[in-house]
Amino acid sequence: MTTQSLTGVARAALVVLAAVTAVLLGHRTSASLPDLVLPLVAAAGLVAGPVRGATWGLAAGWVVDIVPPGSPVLGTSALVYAACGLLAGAGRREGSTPWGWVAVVGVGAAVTAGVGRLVVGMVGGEPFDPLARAQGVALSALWCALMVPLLVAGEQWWRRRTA
Amino acid sequence: MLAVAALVTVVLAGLDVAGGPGPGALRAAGATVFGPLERVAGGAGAPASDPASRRLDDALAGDRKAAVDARATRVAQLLAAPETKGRSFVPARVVAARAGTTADRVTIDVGSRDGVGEGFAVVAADGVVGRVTAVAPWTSDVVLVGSPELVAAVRVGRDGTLGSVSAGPTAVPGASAPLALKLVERGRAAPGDAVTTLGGTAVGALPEGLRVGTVGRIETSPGSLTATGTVTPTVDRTTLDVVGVLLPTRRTAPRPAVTGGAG
Repeated sequence: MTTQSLTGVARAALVVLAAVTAVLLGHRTSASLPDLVLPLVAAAGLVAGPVRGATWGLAAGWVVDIVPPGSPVLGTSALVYAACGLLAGAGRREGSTPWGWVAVVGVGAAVTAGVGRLVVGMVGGEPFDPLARAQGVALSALWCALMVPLLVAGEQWWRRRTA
Repeated sequence: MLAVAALVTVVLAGLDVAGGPGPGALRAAGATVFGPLERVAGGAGAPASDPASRRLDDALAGDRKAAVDARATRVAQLLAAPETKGRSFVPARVVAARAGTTADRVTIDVGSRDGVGEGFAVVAADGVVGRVTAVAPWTSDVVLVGSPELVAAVRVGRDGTLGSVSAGPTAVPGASAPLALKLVERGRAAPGDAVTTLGGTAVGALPEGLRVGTVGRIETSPGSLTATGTVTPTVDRTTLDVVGVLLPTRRTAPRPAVTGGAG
């Protein structure tokens, strides 16, 4: 199995783990939670570029959509995450990339996801709670700012080691 | 390739909104694959070999003693609730919930192998919880009362004024986040009146007489024949744990006609 395949399998396993953990935590607390899947999508976009980032976003979003209890409308998370992956991929820089920039891209992905969910919620007639939504976006942005640089560094280290 | 996948996603989303075929099978496939994982991770243990006789044991197995005691109390409360009186039900536990600003869908640890089917009503010790919307062998997804996906027909107060309850206009975090109430007639309901389900014969209709909540506020606008308001739900959606899936009872014999003025 090639390094790229192994990386893909590991990333897919992490997406499933994050999606299942999110719904298990969602049952145990009523507090706002960060988006656990988003850093994986943003990191994939930063490492692989906009097209692959969007593809990973679409696939990860489908996992989120079908992990029970799932999304009210199937496919909405897939489209939102695809937009996030596309945006993160657009932020990809060749060569050495400062950690600060990677964190900024992660925050941008969190804001994009927040706006996307707001649009989906408004179209679907979900009750609107601005405070809870703002808390969710802020937590996701913080989580992405922390996790995306770590994930990108981890993947680059893995590629160098196995090259 | 990406464009085709995105297009297929948009089409499937449209089909899901329109209630078309396809998305339901995807949900079922997802529940079949990930449901057992959630059951185990949620502490429900391995699927029972004889679900009919081991449901309560399953609901209680694998937890610390304090948690088991608390859960046993909830099961006892559920058995004593008016919603389950004279009705057959399958006890279940909530094992997962959609993370977001409002909890409007949850997953419970019983499925088609336990006799659960789509459209069955789900209740807790305090009242109605929601309706089963997707079923897998070992888990089911439940849309909660208060979700935009579920509009419940209700009766309000002693007079039994007809109305409907749906998602509140604004999401207020907490146990008693209000639901939106719409009455068919103004002037017949007051704050504090009990709100219960109307019942019906259609597939997916919630059974009659399940407690939804109490009227919190009534608003009548000039020129409108109907009234709107809010309902304070009896069930705490944020701490759902032990619930019961009501098994439907269908009428099999035709109802005989009667003649008035005989007595």
